[in-house]
Amino acid sequence: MTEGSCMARHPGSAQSHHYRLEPTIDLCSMDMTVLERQRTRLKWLKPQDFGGSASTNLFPTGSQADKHQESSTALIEMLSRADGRDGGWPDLTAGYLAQGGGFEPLPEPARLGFGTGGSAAANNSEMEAACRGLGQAAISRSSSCPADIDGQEEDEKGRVAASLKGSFKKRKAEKAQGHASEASSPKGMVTEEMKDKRIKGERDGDGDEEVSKQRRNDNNNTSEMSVETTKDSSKASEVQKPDYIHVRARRGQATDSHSLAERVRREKISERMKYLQDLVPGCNKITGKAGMLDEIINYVQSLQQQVEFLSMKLAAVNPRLDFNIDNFFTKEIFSPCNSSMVSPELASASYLHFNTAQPAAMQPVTPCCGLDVPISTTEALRRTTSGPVTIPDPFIEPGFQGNGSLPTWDADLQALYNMGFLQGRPAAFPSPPFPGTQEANNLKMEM
Amino acid sequence: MQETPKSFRHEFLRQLLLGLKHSSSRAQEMSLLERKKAIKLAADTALAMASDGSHWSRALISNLSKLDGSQSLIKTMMGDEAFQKIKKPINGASAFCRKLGARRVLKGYTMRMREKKRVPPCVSAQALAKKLVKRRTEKLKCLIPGGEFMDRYSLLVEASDYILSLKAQVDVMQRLANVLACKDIQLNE
Repeated sequence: MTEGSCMARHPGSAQSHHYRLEPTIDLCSMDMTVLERQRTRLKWLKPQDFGGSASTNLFPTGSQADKHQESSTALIEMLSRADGRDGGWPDLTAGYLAQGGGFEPLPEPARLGFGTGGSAAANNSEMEAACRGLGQAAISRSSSCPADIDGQEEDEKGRVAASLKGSFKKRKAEKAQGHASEASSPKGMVTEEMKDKRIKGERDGDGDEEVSKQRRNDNNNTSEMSVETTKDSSKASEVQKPDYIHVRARRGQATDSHSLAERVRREKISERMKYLQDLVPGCNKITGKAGMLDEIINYVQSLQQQVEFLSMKLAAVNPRLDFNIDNFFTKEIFSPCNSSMVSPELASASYLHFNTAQPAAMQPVTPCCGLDVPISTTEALRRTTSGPVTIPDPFIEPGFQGNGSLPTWDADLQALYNMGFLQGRPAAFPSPPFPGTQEANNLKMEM
Repeated sequence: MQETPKSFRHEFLRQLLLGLKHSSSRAQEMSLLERKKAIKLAADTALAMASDGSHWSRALISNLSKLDGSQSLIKTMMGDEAFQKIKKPINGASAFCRKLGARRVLKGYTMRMREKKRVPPCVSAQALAKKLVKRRTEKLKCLIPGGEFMDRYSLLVEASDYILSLKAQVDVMQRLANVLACKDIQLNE
């Protein structure tokens, strides 16, 4: 599914399929800990050897030089994204986007990487800590954009450099573990490999001038990178204690606990703002809290208005408020099902699972969009069509005997179903990959 | 773009259908607007039920329960014991809210007094920026259910969670509406 949607977006990247399939097969199990996932990613990536031929171009970026690095990063980010997700409704965004959400379909890998880290945070704090390593590499890349007013960029860069060596020093909960494990595990290697050339320069120590070049604000001088490197590599092993966040005081800055606390707080907030930048579409250009807050407010208001509008639409669509289908769904949902409650719900999902891969097809054929190619359907469909067909409503039918896995809707199955529905009328449907438009039209005629 | 997990959407749909089923008994005599309100209520409750565990969901449910005519629906959806828990205020919560409110009023008053005394000759950019951010934070606090008592960081956390769930809600409802519209047209042919 992911592949399909990606295909729609990146027609040119024939190479990328090979790489995309492997990791999703390997790493989709949610039982693996984050560490194991990282290790498998590493194992998978090692032979790849960031050569030009191995590069995948998932997300076209500006610079050629960073291409393979970024694409591998993008891959890793995509993998980490696939980890925490059921991966069930990946086409929805595509459909939603295409329906004129007007949103940017291709976020930069920087945003995506951090967004991955951030979204995992909602589900799993452990993963957040791990992904932050990736995300911070992404932040470092994004920090090439003009710095925002507060001089947060500088904080971030210092933080990126600092955190990559695992040396935050401050007393708070829970973050230190993530950072410590980042520093000590091979993840650290990954993040280091993934980094931008600029950051590499910084880290090597000769980038002191580079670093100062990039710093817009002269007031806050950060400590020398080389000093940090040596110190922090030794300190990394020490930072195994739980419950502490260690923040290093920067050179030229006050070292009292208040300002440190404030700095950590500010950095947390800016992290969150970056994550929100991913969520809210069209926010990539906006720097600064006020503008971002404005966009967030507008977005939340528009979403709430959409809910109102949709509820009005639902009210208008059925005057009796009795959703026949839905009664059947709920019956099925609440009845003790053999194979858990998942399948009838998925059956219901299959109806809501529109042909989002071809949104253009949906609009002109709206009346029959319910029978457009659902991406997944239940096995019951197969069974139902072979048996006697009595129920008039096509929507309800497959929901009942929901059992087992979800095969994809192939054309002959659909043909069978349609034949059953039309009560024996022969329906010779062709079997194109996305038969939505054609067959929907046929159905419409024959009804 | 972030995606909410499949399980969330399923849960939301399930709760929504439950709620609608409950409301459908009285659907005959309701006007369009009333139906819309009922649907919206069911949708919001379903959203809060599906994203259980976050602050805004609890605040949303308590806000919804204060509307008239919503109690029965919420009771049906949540189950009686959970509903009772919501109804019963947390010990000291009301006192806390009152204190907070009083503090806010006092703060606003003193701020205004101070501003009147001190007329800045020029408004620094930083102060202006701070004011803008503050104003927008206040607005965001009104938008996000339960946001009035949160500090800025947790407000952002809740906002991101809320936005994700809202997106999922909009998506599911859109598809539901499409399915029903299709079915309607097909039946009418």
